[in-house]
Amino acid sequence: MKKQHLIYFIIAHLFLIFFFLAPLKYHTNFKDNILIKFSFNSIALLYRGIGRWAFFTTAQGRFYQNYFEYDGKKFIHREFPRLKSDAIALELGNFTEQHMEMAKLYTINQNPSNSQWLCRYYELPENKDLLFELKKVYLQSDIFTSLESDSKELYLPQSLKKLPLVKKTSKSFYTQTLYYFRCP
Amino acid sequence: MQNYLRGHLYTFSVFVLTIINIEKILNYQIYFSATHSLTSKDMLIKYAASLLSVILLLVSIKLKYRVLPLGSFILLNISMIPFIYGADLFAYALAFYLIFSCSEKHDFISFLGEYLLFGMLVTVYLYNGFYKINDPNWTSGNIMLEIFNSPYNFFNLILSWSVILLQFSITFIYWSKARKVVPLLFCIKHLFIAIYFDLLFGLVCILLHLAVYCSSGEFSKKLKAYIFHTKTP
Repeated sequence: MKKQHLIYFIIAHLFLIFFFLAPLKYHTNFKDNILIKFSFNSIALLYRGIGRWAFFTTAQGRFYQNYFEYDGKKFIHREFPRLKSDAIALELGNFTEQHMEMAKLYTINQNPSNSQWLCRYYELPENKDLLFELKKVYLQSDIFTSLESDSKELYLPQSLKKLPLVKKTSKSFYTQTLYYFRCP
Repeated sequence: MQNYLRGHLYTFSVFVLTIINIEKILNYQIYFSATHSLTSKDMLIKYAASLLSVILLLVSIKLKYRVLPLGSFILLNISMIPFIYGADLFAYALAFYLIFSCSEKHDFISFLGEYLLFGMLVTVYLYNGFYKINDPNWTSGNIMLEIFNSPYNFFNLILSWSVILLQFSITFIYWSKARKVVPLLFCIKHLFIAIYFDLLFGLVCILLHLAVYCSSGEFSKKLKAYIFHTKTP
């Protein structure tokens, strides 16, 4: 093997090793590991959406489905918004930096698997009411500003207005900045 | 068919990148409504620059002329948006690997492109499979109820488990015989994704698996040949 090829081969291998290790940062047991932190930060320079395909893939799908359907008592399932759904993901943050916020949002969406992960990952105390604040940036986003406080009606971003299954709700749930949750 | 696809996949991937770029321009208001500090004008200039990079990617024939515009395109896109959604993430990766791997001649650089593409796919699908198998909604088949909005039946359970198993079957792409079957199964899966959830993401993933399908030769033999400098397979 030529020397030049060997260098390319080593670089490619290092990239693949980092790529494989990076998502482990979301695992409770590995979150403080230096090698995994380094891998994650290195790969995140190029792949900002890392972790989306690893940890949040299925949860995010359910999140899309549930989000606009809270009627005060339960979540009603609805069809996925197609194509433009990515705008929602954008508004709700970058996983590499703001996954905590995402996890909080999942928690308020009453998704048990996500709240369990949140409690485990951040080693939060059990059976104790925890208060958290949703960052302002999310409240200013299309989704949250779309809920007009006066009319108490849910207005969707322009791109989602045409979707037939979206329901209007009179609940002011999404305008609140403070939320409680309790770790099981 | 395979050779035709192999020759045109790069063009397809850059075409998809162009569509993604145009889609972002069209949905500019949504993407940058509140979360970005840059002014609208700056953003549009960056978009125009990235579109120019895509055009350069299409017209560049030689490999070395392609790396620069693709690099600038990726950097511009990363600097522009705080979140890169799935479709463009995979489209960058696909275009990047295809620059090296879709050339007519089978050399070490072409092999390295394939090597990275396979490695990336295997990592992504294994992680995804692992989390799916740990997700009660997938193992019970409930996820299909949510997706298809249908009443529970045994078919949902089989369908969700077949998706889980398919995620793990990605490792077989290193075996040349399985490479003719596994990517096609993934293409079917991603066709459903394109129809039901996200058109762009589904299409990009189909292109990724077509790239795997078009790869020929036993992987281990190629690896051995290039490392130990024996006759190239």
